[in-house]
Amino acid sequence: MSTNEQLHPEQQRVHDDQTINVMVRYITATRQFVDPRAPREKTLASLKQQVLTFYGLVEDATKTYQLALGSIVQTNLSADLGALAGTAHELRFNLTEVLKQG
Amino acid sequence: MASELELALFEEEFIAVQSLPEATRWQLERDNSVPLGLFAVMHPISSPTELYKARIRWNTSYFAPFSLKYVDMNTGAENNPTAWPLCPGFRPASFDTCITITSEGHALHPEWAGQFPKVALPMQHALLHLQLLLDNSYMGRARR
Repeated sequence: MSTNEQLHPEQQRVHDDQTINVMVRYITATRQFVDPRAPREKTLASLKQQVLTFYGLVEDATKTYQLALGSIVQTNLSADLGALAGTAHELRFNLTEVLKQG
Repeated sequence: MASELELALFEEEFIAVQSLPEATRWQLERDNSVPLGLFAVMHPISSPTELYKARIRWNTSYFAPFSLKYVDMNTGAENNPTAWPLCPGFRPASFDTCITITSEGHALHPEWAGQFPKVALPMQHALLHLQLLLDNSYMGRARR
């Protein structure tokens, strides 16, 4: 018998359809950021902030960070994960540091 | 002189990076003339037939900026400008780069000292950074 915490398989399927397994690799680091159930409506800006916090990183006047979907840098941070994923259920990003060069 | 820790991590990473999703696009080869060096053949995502052979060497420390040269795919010559991709900060005419991840860039810009990130996986960092440059800012092959 189901409890409040357990979802019926059909409910689970719908829930899974509304979420995406997101993995972000900071290219200097050993540990990956993983959110197995990121909401499809979550924006890249929100994801990026979450990832920066996870790695203890802060942007400042001398450096910023870029999220790349695979190897393609994402410049529209208001895009949401669902739009990027389409019918896929998984997104893999790389996070890289960009120093502002003199 | 590379430490045992650096040599061990280099060996470990040389195997590990070949499991990265991006590695399906790479041909990696050790540079046996130095303790901490490799060659990586890569291509921009926009031009899959344009191959470039990067020579990556950590001459001072495995955790410091690395030396980057592009060598001739056929001969290995280091003095062929057309072996170089054009990306911002790449200077094929002088066979070096003025970018923040390379030792050549740091030699040109002493003010960058201290701005190189703490790197736990130097080889992964170098290879993925170079691939990101090729895929996002490639402007063609350099000419003589």
